[in-house]
Amino acid sequence: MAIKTFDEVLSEVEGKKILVVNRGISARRVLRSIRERLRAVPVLTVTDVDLTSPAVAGAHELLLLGANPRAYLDLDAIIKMAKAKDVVAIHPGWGFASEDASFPKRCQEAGIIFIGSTSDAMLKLGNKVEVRKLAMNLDVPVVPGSEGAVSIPEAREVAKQIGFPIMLKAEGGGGGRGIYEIHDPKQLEAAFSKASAMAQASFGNPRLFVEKLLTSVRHIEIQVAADMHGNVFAFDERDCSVQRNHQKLVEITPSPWPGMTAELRERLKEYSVRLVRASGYHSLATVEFLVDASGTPFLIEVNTRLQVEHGITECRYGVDLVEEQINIAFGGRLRFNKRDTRPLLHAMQVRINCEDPRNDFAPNSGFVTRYVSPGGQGIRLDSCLSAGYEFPSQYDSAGALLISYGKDWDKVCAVMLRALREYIIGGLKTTIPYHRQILRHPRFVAGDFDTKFVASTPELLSYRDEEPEAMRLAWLACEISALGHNPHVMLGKYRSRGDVRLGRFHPAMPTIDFKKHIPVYPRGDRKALLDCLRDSGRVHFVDTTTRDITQSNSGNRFRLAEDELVGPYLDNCGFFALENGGGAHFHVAMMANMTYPFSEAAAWNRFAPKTLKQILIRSTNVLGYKPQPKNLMRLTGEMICEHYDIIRCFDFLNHIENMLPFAQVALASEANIFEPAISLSFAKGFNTSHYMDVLEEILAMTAQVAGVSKRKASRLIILALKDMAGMCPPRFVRELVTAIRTKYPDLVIDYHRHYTDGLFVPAVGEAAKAGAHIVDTAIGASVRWYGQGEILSTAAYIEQDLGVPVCLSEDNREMIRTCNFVLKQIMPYYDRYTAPYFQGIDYDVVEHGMPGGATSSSQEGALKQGYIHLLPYMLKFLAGTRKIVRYHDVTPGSQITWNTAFLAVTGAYKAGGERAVRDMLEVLKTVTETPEKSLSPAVKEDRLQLYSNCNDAFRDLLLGKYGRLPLGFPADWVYESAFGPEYRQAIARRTEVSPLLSLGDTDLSAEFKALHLHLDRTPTDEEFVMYLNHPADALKTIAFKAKYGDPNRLPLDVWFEGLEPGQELMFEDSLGKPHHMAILDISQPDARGAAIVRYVLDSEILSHQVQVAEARGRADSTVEMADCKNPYHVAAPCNGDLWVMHVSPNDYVKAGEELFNISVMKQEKAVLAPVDGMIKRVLKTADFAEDKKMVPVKEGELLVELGPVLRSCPTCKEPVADESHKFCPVCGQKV
Amino acid sequence: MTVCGPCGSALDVAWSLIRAGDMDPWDVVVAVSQRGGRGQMRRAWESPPGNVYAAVAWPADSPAPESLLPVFVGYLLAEYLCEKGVAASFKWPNDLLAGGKKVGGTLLEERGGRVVAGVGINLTSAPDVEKLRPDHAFPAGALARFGRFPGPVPFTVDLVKFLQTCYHDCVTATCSFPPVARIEPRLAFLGREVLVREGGSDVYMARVLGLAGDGGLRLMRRVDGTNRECVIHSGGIAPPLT
Repeated sequence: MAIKTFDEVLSEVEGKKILVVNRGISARRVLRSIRERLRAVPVLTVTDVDLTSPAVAGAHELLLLGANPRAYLDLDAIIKMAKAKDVVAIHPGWGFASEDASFPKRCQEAGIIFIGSTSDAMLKLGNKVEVRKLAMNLDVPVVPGSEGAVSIPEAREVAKQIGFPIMLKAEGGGGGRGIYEIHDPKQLEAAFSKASAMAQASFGNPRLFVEKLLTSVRHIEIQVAADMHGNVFAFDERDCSVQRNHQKLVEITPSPWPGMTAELRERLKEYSVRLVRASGYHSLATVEFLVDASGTPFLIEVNTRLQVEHGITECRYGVDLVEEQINIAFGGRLRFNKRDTRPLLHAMQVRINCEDPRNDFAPNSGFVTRYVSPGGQGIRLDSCLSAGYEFPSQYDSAGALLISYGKDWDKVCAVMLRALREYIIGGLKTTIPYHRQILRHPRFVAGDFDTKFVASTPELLSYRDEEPEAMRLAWLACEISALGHNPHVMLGKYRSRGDVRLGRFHPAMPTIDFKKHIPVYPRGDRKALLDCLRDSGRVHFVDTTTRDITQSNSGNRFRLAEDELVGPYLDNCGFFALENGGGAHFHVAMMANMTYPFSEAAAWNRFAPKTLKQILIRSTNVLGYKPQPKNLMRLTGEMICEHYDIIRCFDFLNHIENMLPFAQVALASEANIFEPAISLSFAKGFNTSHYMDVLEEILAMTAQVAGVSKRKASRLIILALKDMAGMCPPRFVRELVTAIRTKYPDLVIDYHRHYTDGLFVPAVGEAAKAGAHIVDTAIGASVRWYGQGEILSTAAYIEQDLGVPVCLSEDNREMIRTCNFVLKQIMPYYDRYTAPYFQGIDYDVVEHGMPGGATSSSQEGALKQGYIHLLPYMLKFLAGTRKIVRYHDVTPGSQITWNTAFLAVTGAYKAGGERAVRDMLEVLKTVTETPEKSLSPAVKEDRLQLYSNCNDAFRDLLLGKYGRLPLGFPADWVYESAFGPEYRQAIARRTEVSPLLSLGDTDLSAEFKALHLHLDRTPTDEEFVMYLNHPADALKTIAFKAKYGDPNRLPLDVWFEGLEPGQELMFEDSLGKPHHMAILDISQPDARGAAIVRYVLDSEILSHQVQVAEARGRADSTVEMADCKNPYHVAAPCNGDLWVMHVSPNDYVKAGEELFNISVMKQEKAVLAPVDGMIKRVLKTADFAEDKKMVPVKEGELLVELGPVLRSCPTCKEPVADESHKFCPVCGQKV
Repeated sequence: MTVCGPCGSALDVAWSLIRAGDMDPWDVVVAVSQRGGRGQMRRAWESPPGNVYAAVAWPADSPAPESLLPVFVGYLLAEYLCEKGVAASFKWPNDLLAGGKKVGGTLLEERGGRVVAGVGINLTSAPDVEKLRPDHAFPAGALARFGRFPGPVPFTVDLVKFLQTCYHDCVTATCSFPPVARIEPRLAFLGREVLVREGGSDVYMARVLGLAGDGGLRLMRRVDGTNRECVIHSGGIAPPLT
């Protein structure tokens, strides 16, 4: 062929069709060059899956390959189609058939120019064994190994010579595939068979050869271009050492490795040119070497095609290699030469794959929800992605090739890092964050890396791949909006999308003059604070609005977001303390509000800095649900003391010893106040004298810990009197408080009561009159039935009707009113969505003793389980049991009592109906009212049934596992009832020792490791304490926060109701940055039960998918079912695929003839005609042999309907088809 | 056992014997060669002399679920070869694989309540790649490369004896198929990624989890960003493209 100039090639090629037989990034790259200077017509092969690929837009014409995703390999079909479309040249791209040595020949036979080399040259250079032979002949150094393909014994021989470790490489392999490392001679046999099988399956060639596995090598390759006229040019090296499992991740030119000298470069180029010339190869090729630490090169293979990383060479030199390939293929002269083609810039490419590096680089496929590509100076992007693209799963995971170029290595790295930060691909996990880690690694930047870099640097995987918080919060809002309710608050499906809304939450917030109120209570100094209380002669108030009252009435769903609204007002009301943490609130913060409780406490001290903070803890459990070992208690205790000033501690059995460890923590701090509580109820035995004994115990314990006398101890603490059930009558309160004040005049008393029996104000009044220093109240708008009472009314009663002064100024009262106004606007949402089922004042509590919140939830439980009609009996049982096993109904006691009552009553009901229940209650009544000696044997027998259905918690209580029962163990018969025949052993086992004594320390370091493993990162101290107290819910909250961000950023109405399309939402993220969101549209759920929410966030339109219902399964079109009684109906015998229908309407069939055939997992069922007849209807047809399609059918589906034969020939009995026939078509007989 | 010379298909010979009332369960027809040997849905099965082309009459008392039977037969054939020292497995539902090649296939035909299992095994020869259909999943191979085997007739005799014994031990005694946990170890691609082709046009990647109780193939596939388990009862699987 005569040498052509480039201009001659241009005029030859202009307007001609050039086909790219490839897809994705490779195709898009080549299509561009075809269009640019060459002005040829780009044609592209496309399978059905790829019709939506971004590469398609670059083509002028498409060659449709159909449904089979592997059709890119069907060269015969493609060449045939190309010929029919007058394609003049074919470019194979990279991958797929680009290294199929038969491709050039096939093109040649069809008269099409192959843009690449000849089949012979490809075989010489591309076959790994052949090129080794060629190299050895040309004195090009190769990796020590076998001469060619080997058998197992030969492999063993070679391995012995060159020494382990070795590599088994597939002869037909390439691009890093088909390589097996063997370190141990014992592995050789097994690895060989496996490698051979895989090679056969992947490349169609099972032959393997052996190479030494070199350690500490760099992968350096030389790009070569040659024309058909003997001109060859070698470019500067590309360093591709950053690889994972032999797959390249980053490619760089020139190599930043300090060992890359000009001599080595020249040497490698010389070898490459030698190989290309000797093989008669033309077009582009890349000669790949491994260079060891001393700078010695070894040839590994030659790639006889355009490579993925060709772009960095193009950037370095300012050339277009694809254009040159086409020039060469059409006979043009090579335009590259030493004089004109000079390297100018440095360049680097990272491969952006749709893989999740943190999940072992597992490929991702799916919807690209967001796409923002990088740009600017020094950036080149070759991608096959766009927003809205459904990245397919049938092909490799290459998404984009990102190249940065610049004057030197440092510039190139800086530009790349910047671009990786700009690059956003949403909806899929990609390698972008992983590449950022590589770019930041000092060894990488220093050029000090070999092929083992990735494998030996696991810290590259330590990153958090998170979308910005505003987007994650938007997802949360979308989900609540699509569902109509918030699934995370654990209130069930309290609302659905179409329900009436309370509406947008825009509270009117009066301005506060923060300078006006100066706190009067000293903080950080226990002595000063207590003296202040003691000497004041007034009653002080603790506000429970944000904890106990909303715990009792709104199930604790009051969020930090709402705390932040009322907190600043509360802070300026002049309260002694704000109770803002502890109890069940700690748990629910994690379980339903997705807030870190200690972060919440820290936030409180920021937005309400003036007032003391108070927390409630349980003695043994602190903030958890089971007794805690000392070391855990200490850890939690320290964190508590950091955020709270006053720590109220109670034990439901008043087993004071249980408080000891916490007392030690709290009393050790001069800044904190330890406030032990006496749990109160009112019953026989629980009288003033009893409680004074409990007080003695408390003071004794305090004295012991503080190392002082009891009297002195009484000056160090506040004593809380805790009537959780709200059932101690006012007269008793007066008696008790008077007794305490008389005996210990220096002891500061805080009276705490619930509203449940309706006597809050009189009871609190009596306490104040008798000398209690502090009482607990709440802001009016939050007062319902089960929490505390209202402050202003209580204060007015105490001051004006009882004549006891209170510590509330006029300014304070004004602020309380203002706070009430704000709170009033918040409460309607909680009332609507979190109010208990049963509400109202319940004077009955005096009998049954269940505390507020527990009353309602327990009774609701009975309703939901269908036992509401038994509720009065359960409450009577409670009342009775309280007289037998005597303790105080506070958590967890109230739960234990309730469950015992529930089980007893439902057990009796199931055994003998309501009659049995009434009988049982009779027995209970008798037992409680009649002295022991007067009981009849019958009753003694019957009473054993009372606790026979109890659960383990009750039994544990009887054994003393929770602590010492305040009035001692109950009578023996209770044990006999609860434990059955082994009751004596139970009695022997029971203990009065504190449960804390038997607890071993928690293995904190093991727990920390476990949490670290769960989170895949180092936990914070707070997360660790959360986890130790409530492992499951802590993990839930941590996961929620990672997934959605801080939910307190969303306003109250959105939290419960979501947004309606068109409504605007302004919110701030955790950094204070403002954002705007509006939902455009929420679709109806599709067959999979998912709804798509389209929304605007700041300036982008995005969409989010929400699972709102169960998947319905594929929507079935109505299928006609056969009538099994009809002998003419022929149905599908089972679910399967119809693949051939033999008959058509009006055919005649005899009984036993095959009508159709169904395939079920390679079992082919022939379905035969049941009777002679004529085919009336054929409902489905198939002919797999013809059209390769199968038709799914269901069992019982009607497929063929027969009809009776109308006439048959009297002679031959054959059916006569047509009504109009006068003669039998078979035998000629007249009919 | 009936041995016949070149015929259309051993299956057809068997059916004609059944129609004549001459074939009992476990009777087998062995053909020297077939002119029209068939695979699934009347695809061609190359049948030159030297290989096994057998049609085995299956007992009528097959337990439920019926859909497990083809898988069970595939499993038995793989077990048989394993006992003969060949590392064999079956690709769902019942292609016979060894050394990365397909060495045999089964086709169950049911007519009028009788079931015949057609078994084709490449003893000495396997068709060239050109003879395979374009979208074939696996290259074809012959057992000869794994060692020495007897000729088709003695091979089939031994095989049918094995099938009969296994069937009796596993199935007749318990009136049910063995649990899928027994069958799964011989399932090819267990735990690996495969290309799944369902109903002709639906193609996707999935990971093979195992077998369902009714013989379906349990897969884990990624749909809309989440992993979902699904079971297929039709279609086929192939090794992944790369």
